[in-house]
Parts: sequence; structure tokens; C-alpha cells
Amino acid sequence: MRSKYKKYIFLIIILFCNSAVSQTAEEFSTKTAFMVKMSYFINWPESSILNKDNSTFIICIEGSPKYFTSLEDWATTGKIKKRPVTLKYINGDISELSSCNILFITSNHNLSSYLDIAREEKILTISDNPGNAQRGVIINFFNVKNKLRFEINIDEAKSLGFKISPRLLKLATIITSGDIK
Amino acid sequence: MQLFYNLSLRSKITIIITGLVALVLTTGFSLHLYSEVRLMKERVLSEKTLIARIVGNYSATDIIFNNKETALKSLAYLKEYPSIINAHLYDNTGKHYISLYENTHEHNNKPDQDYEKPWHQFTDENFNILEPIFIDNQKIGSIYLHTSISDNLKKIKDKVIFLSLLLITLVLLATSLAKQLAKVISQPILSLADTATNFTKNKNYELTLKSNNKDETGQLINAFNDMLQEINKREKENAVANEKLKKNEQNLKSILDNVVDAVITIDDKGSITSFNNSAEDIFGYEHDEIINKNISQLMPEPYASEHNSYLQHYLLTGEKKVIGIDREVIGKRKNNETFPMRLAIAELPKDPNGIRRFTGTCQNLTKTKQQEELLRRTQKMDALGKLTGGVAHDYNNMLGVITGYAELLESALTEHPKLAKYAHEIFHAGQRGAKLTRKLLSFSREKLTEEDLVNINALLKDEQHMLEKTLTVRIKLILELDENLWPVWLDINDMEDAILNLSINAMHAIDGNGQLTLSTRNEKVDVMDTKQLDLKPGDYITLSVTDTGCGMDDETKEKIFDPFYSTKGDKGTGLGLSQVYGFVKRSGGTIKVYSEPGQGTRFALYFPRYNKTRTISIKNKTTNTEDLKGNETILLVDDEPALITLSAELLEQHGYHVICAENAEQAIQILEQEPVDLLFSDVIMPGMDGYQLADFVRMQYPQIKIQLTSGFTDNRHMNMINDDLHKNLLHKPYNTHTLLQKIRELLG
Repeated sequence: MRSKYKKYIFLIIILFCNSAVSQTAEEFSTKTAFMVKMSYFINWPESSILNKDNSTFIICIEGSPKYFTSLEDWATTGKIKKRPVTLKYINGDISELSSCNILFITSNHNLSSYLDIAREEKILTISDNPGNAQRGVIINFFNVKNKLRFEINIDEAKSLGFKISPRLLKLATIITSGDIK
Repeated sequence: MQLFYNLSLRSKITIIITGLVALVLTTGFSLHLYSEVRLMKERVLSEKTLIARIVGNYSATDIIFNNKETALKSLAYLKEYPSIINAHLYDNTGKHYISLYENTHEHNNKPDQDYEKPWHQFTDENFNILEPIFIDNQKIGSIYLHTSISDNLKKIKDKVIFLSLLLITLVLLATSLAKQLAKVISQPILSLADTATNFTKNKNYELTLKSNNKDETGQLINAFNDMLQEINKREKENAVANEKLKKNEQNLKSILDNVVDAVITIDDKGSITSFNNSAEDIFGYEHDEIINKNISQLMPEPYASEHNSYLQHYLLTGEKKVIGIDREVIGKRKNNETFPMRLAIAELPKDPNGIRRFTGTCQNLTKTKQQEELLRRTQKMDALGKLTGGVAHDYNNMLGVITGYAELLESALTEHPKLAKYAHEIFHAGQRGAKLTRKLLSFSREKLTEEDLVNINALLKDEQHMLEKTLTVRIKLILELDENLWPVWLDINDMEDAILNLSINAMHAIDGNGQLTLSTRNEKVDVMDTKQLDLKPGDYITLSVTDTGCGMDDETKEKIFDPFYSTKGDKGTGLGLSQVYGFVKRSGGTIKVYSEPGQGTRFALYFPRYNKTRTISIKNKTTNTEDLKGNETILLVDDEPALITLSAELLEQHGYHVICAENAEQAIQILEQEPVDLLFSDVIMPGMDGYQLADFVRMQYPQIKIQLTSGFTDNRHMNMINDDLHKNLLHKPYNTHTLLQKIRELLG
């Protein structure tokens, strides 16, 4: 366990102290690191696939794999909710979504479809586009003064049955239904 | 420690209770304070641990998501706790992340600890704690709290001060209570001690203590009172027993000291262990000089050796040859004099040391032997007296007949002077025979007495001249007379004879020149002397006749009073001293002889003091028998026919009418038939005697005058007879004149 944590911590340190090839890859590395840590403070709904199938934790990614190399590296050994982590790139194939526990959406293309399925399958949705929280994404990253911050659509989370730790909530910008324009 | 033991019970109780209270309270308070400090530390630890954990957990996401703003906000909650001086967050590498108050640098003081382990530290005024922060078992970082415990310490200090004051107050209170308690406990003990002291010093066993308590001291006092009562009771019993014992001992001692016999105790070796007063008197030893000496010292040989061998024999064999048996032995005085004694030996119970003891009772037999000798001699003399008396009585009657008829014959032969002279010679011979008979009767004490009040001194003075003549000049006569000599009642003629007899004997005993001393003195004879002297206690007059003659040996001394015993051969009659003996005995006295061959002799004559008034008959002597005639009827009673015939002849010649009877019974018969003026009766007759007849006549015929006659005084009648008749007794042999005179006096 300890060696695993060390690896995990090491990864985070790499992410934080990013001197990666590209700015984008570094950015995603931080975001995915945040995503992994956030999973500690979130409980999935009873009816989600996570609580039915306890074999692996599947992170689905709607975006280019080149931004997720660090995550992939980490996923070889890292665990979420005591399960080995599997990355799955969607590439527009909606049918792949049913097995996902987290869906990371890098573009807003066909967003509503994804969100519909995510609502249906009780999948935690994460994105990094401004205004997506208001659109129905549960967690959405944004930058303030060059520091990565995130917002949480608490109503969406609640409606899907996710329980989020206050310790996580106190760091997030809370988006409610009233904020949606 | 010794000092503590020497303290009073009160002080001890006070010190012990105070000390115990102080010890208990101090211990209690110390434990309480220790517990308080520990509780405070535990409280501080748990409180600060809780705060650290809550804040640490709360700040965990701030560190994870690297948000110092929210981290600071999280820490800002700690400002609510004044005791928290500062708080620091560190990341999972141990690097300082953020502090509550950045102006301080205390985070640099974070201990070099394994940051994964919780750590805390109490200093004098601070408490510091490092608490790791874990999320899902992963170390996120750690929180360090630097806190102050001065408030808690102040509370503790306040409590210490309060408890100290409380301790002092309680100890003082305990001391006061302990003193009271000690007083309550010690008071009865002190009063017990006082009573015990009083009890011991003053021997006051009547003391009792009062107790109102029913506790242990009450029980102690009650037990003490019981003990006092018991001691008191025992003291009284002891006192009574001791008194009784003392009395018994005194009684026993006085008994032992006053018994006439010598009582001597000896041990099994024959050593004397006790010697009573009588033993001292008998043996002449003082108690202290004879104690522990051997008993053989008190006996001459062979008695001493014999006694020792008997004792040894008994000790060895148990055969009782002398034990429990009394026997006559010879004792030896300190001055080596020996004396006869009766010795009775008995074994006493063993003494407390197991030594066998014997007691010997010695009775001095010297006086007993003397008494026995005296008794033997008295019995012998009595036998001789009775013999001679009996002979003399018959002689008297016969001489009476001879002299009587000789007188009648002489008066009838006035016309034949030659024959009358023969009759006169017969009469004189009869008179001499009567004189000899009188001497015999004097010895036998059965003599006709003519007693009178006599002053021996006067008698001796009257006789002095005659005695000096008798003794001749070769013998000097010395009179030593007591001027206040008491009078005596005795026959003066016998007295004269006795003095003459003794003087003549003395003269015969003195060869050549010598000296005869006649001395008189008054003497009181008490009970102690009676046995030795054979006298009744009372006043006596002694006449001592002491000569410087040849003295006598014991054999002679024993026989001198025997009749017809004489040392003078044919010169003596052998009746002198026996006459003296009879006279002295008859006078109620006694005679003692002290004589040693060659040393002289002393006769001591004891006569009882005269102390009664006695009537002395007045003798009107008439010489003419013609005046003594009468015509009255006289009854003559006598068992001797010759005498009765003689008397009847004499009386009838003088005009009297005479009736004769041979015994009293016959006389009584005559009295019934014939009137009689005078009864003339012999005293000693077969059947009723003269006195009994006289009594009968007095009762039945009081007008009849009575005259009794007798050959000798019969002492059997001394206590019962009429004294007048006895005094007026006509003694045989009587001459005509005397007979007629007596009868004429009675008939008037």
C-alpha cells in the first residue's frame, strides 16, 4: 500500500511541478490528478454501475489520448475505491458509456447526449469548459489567476444521487439550478 | 522513640491521631492533586488531539488541492481557543505549508519526529502536539499545535493552596478533637491509676470507682472494682486467718510453755530443735544454749547411749522399742545433778524438708517419788496406829475396871489400912498403865484430847528454865521466837511432852558440847507446798528444833517415828517420837525431819493457825464427892459389862438410881418403860452407837440429859455429831470424881 501511495504521490508531485512537453498535457495532468483525488471525497449512488460491478474503476475520456499520458501511467498501478483503474477513450461512441464510472469530457460536442446517458447511468461527469457546470456537468475545472479551481453543480450531483464531502465542497465553487441560464 | 514512650497516654493519643489525620489528608490531597494534574493532562491531551485531528482533517483537502486560502480559513477556527498559541500545517513531506500566525516562527521548532506518528509534549507551561493527517489511509500532511496550559496550571495551583489551607485546618481540628478524645480515654485510666496508687499506698481496700460508661473503659473500671472487691475480701479473709493462726500459735506456744512437763523436739540425728519453758526449768539449760545440741546431753550414761541406740534402731528398722511408750529414766541437769523422770517419745510428722522429727515429753518424778515415799510411810504409820489404838482401847477398858475397883476397894477398906494400901498400889499401877496407854494413843492419834488456845512462845518461855536444867550446861539452849506468832489450838500437855521429847533426843544426839535451837515463825503454805508438806493450804506456825548432834542416816530417818524404835537401846521406850508424831498429826499439822550424819538434825513441826472462836469449858473443881450425890435415875449404856457394873456401883453409892443396858436398842426399850433423868452412854458400841442413841433420845425425850463417854476420840463422828456432846465427852478411864462431877453439872 505504502509503495503505491508513494507512486501516487510522486505522480501528483510531477503533475504539480509540471515541466511537461506541452502546456496542454501539463494542464490535463493536473486536472486528472485532481479528478483522482476528488474521487476520495465522493460516494457514487447505490444504483450506479460502480456499486453493481466491483471489478474495476473505469474512467471514460472524451478527448485525445495524448493529453492523458500521465493518467495512463498512473492507472497502471493506481487504484480508485480500492479497484484497479481502466481508461476508456469514447471517441463519440455513446454505447461505451454504460460501463463508465467517471466521464471526462474535453469538448462540448454532443454534450447533451453524453449528459443524458450519464444521468441515466449515474456517471460522474467532469469537464473543463467554462459554463459546463451550468449545462449539467457535475464538476467543471477552471483557472483563476493561473491556479486550477473547480466548480460543482450540486443540484445535478444530488439529483443523480452523488454524495460529495463538505471538505471538497468548501474548495469548490458551488453551482445550483438557479445559476443555470 | 524512647521519648515517645515516655510521653503521657494523652499526648501519645493526640500525637498519633493528629499524625494519622495529617498523613491521611496529605496522602489524600497529594493523590487528589496528582490525579488532578493527570486528569488535566489527559484532558488537555484529548482536547488538543481532538482539535488537531478535526482541524487537520478539515484542512486535508486544502493541502491536497493546494488551497492556502481555505487552509488559513480552516486554521482560523482555532482562534476561538485562547489556549492555542499557534498552529501549523505541514505537507506530506514534512514541509511547512501554512501557520495560523505567520509572524511567529515556532513552526521551525517542530520536533524532529517521525511525522507519521502522533507526538505530544508537556513543558512547564506549554503543551505541543503533532498530529498526522490521513485521507483514506494516505498521509496527507500533519498539523502542529503549540498551546498554553498556564490556565490549567493556575487552577491546579489554586487547588494546592486551597487544599493546604484545608489540610492545616483539618489537622488543627483533628488535634483539638484528639485532645478531647485522649481526655475521654485517659481520664478513666488516670482515675484508675490514682485509685491503684491510693490502694497501694494507703492499703485502702474499700475504694471503688464510679463508671457511667458501658464502653471498654467502663468494663475496665467494673473489672477493676471487681478486682478490688476480691482483693478486699481476700485481705479480710487473710487478716482473719492470720489472726486466727497467730492466736493458735500463741495459744499453742503458751500451752507448750505452760505445760508442767518438759517438751523437747529433736530431729532424726537427735539434735534438739525446740525446748519449752518447763524443759528449761527441769534441765537448767537456757533455750538458746541447748538448741542444736544432742539430746544425749540431757541424760547420764548408760541412759544416753541406750536412748541413741533405741532411736537409731527405730530409724533403721521401724521397730518401736521406745516410741509411743513412756518409761522411767534418769535425767541430767546442766549442773550434772540427776533426777528421775518419765520420758515419752512420739514421732511427729516430717518437717517441710522431709526430715523426721520426734517429740519427747519429760515429767520430773522427783516430787512424785517423794510423795510415793511419804504415802508409803503414812500408810505404814496408819497401820501401826490402828494396831496400837485397838490394843490401847481394850487396855483402857481393863485399866478402867482395875482402877475403878481399886478405888472402891480402897474406900471400902478404910478400916483395914494395910489392905487399903494394897488397893491403893493397885490403883497406882493402873494409873501408870493408863499413862502408858495414853502414850500409845498419842501415837495412834486416837487420844483423849484436852485442847486449848496456846501461845507456843509463852509455853517455850515457861519451859525454858526446866529445859536448860534438863539439857545441862554442855548444851546451849537458844530461843529464836517470832514476836507476832499466831496462836494455835492444841493439847498443851502434849505440846510440853513433844518439846521435852525432842530436847532429850537432841541431848542424846549431842556428844560433848553443843547447841539446841528452838525457833518459831509464821508460815503460809500455798498450793505448791501442800504435796511436799502433806498439808492443806493455809496459815501455819512452825516450831523448829535444831541440834548440832550426830545426825542420822536415811535408814534411821525412815524409822524414827515407828513405835518402839529406839537408837538408845534399853534407855529408850521407842515411844517418844511416835508420840510427837501422833500429837502433831492430831493437831492438823505435820512434822519434817532434815538430817545428815555428822551435821545435826532439825525437826520442823507445823501447826495450823487458830482462827476460830471455841468455847472453853469452865471447870469448876469440887474436891468433896459428898457434894456430888444425887437421887435421879440414870440409864447406863455400855457394851463392856465390867465397866457398866463398876459405874453402876459408883453411882449407886452416891444415891443415884441406876438402870443398865448393854446396847442402844436395849436402852431404847428401857426408856419406853422407865422415866430416866440422865443417859450415860459409851460412844463405841456394836449396832447403834452412842451418838445415834443420843440423837434419838434428844428427839423423843428432850428432857433427858445426856453424857457420853469414850476410850478415844473417834474421828468418824467429827463431822456429824453434836458439838456440845463431843466437847463434854468423858474420856475413859475416868475416876470417880470426874464421873460424879460431870453428872452433877448436867443434872444441875
